[in-house]
Amino acid sequence: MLGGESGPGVQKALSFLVEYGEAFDAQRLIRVDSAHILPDPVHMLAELTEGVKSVRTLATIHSLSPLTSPWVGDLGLKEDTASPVIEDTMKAVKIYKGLGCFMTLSCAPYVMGNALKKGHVFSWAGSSGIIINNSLFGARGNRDSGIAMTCSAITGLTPELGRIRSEERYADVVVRFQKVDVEQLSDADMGAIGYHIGAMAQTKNVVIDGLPSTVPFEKLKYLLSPMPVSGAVSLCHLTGITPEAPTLEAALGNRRPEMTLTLSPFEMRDAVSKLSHYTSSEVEVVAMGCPHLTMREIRDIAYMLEGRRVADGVRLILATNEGVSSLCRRMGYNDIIEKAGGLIITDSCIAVFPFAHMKEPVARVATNSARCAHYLLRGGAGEVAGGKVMDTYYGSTRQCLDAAVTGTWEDA
Amino acid sequence: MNITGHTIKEGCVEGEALVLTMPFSFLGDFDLTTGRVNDLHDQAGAIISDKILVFSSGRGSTTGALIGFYACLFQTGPKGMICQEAEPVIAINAVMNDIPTMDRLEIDPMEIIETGDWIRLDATRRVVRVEKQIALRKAV
Repeated sequence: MLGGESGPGVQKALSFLVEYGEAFDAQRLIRVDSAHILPDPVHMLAELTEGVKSVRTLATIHSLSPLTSPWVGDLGLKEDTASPVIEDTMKAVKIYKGLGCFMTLSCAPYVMGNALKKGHVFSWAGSSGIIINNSLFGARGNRDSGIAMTCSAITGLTPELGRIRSEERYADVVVRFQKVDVEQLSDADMGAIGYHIGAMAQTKNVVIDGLPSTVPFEKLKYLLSPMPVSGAVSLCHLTGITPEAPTLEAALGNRRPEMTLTLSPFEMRDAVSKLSHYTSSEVEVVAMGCPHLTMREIRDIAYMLEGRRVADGVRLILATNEGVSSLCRRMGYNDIIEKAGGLIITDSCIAVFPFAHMKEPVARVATNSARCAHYLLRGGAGEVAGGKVMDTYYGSTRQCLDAAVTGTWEDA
Repeated sequence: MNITGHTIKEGCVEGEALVLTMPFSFLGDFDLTTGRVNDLHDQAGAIISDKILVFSSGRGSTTGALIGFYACLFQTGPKGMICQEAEPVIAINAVMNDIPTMDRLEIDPMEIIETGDWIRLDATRRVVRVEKQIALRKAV
């Protein structure tokens, strides 16, 4: 295919994949079972898709800036601030749609059918989806980024490197709990634990020993998703829970770990302190859904909000994808949340929320997501993308909803 | 001093080193408009634009390479990168945006290179030349 007989786009994509592979000493390109794409700069995409009629693997599209969504007005964003970057993103989405990429517009496409099993090879954007695929589903992929996913989707191939190779999937870091009641960990506790582990493990693989096998998926989502934010972890086994970790020894490949971390309430408090910074307890926005809320989370939020009302002057923003939102609307949960004054949005990433583009200035945001809190404290991608450094409150879903209803943040 | 290493993206550039003592994320660790490193990073206030960035490895969201693209477009990004060991987001950023980049040097770059040193990063020939700040001052 490098000879160009499949067209110039495929040829360009292949030469990128070869160069990417060579940077990590990959020996060959292999078949890819799934792609998940963050839209590329539109002129690069035009080159890559020249002569390409459709993608050669199951492909879905990532969540986008809220400025691209139909919710701009409802979110209190200025309606006329869509930049050329945003317009280019929309043009790119149209091209991907034409190639057969599903417009999931979500960081959690696994709940809408881009679902993988043990041994599948994937090329995904979205560091939360990547660590969830590698760890919980046992699929194989790396922290792909930029044009890598598009190149994999249109060629059906990806370089065999990193976490695709069996010998690079064993854990190097062991995490154990000390004086922590693992049965009682909240979603925010999980996020704090993940945030701490990511900062310590950096690029290494992790195995956590001692969590009960009954932990629901959503808590694992909050545990795993901050690891590639404070660090660059792409695989975290959970002993007795995840496919490649029936035992601690199996996860370690019978080798000695490079590092052992002990997790006590001290490390958890320390992580929470790094995820919160505020000067007033008056909350202005409560944002949840990073990664996108699941149907169970929307249901639980609806139950917790029933008969209550979001305080005047506070916005409650809940981000999910079209699949979950439609299902929850059918169930009546969206109605309960909207009656209480909350807003459910789809297609959008709240971690890069363009707070600089609000009609009425906003400076203080509460969230149940360690990932989101990290980026809020840093202004997302900065002013070009409408980012703004925010006062940030970090706590559990329950704490966030209480703050939405009372307008005041209370520490746990 | 010449140090050999492994190439992520070929090319040859010269410039001033900026050493980042924390792993670097293109999303969130600097402002795309100005190239300024944000307040929660060890090197808060430093400007990455036109520098040879020296850091341990990448970190953070996979949006990084796309932010790297816009940093090139707005000319606020780095000229070259030297890592102890690159991870995929940094490597893709380098390959996609044509930023000469090396890693796995025979001597730890974090030990040898200091901010302000003059670096010639010849990733095509797999050699990094380091001119210490002091040597430069003496020459002047």
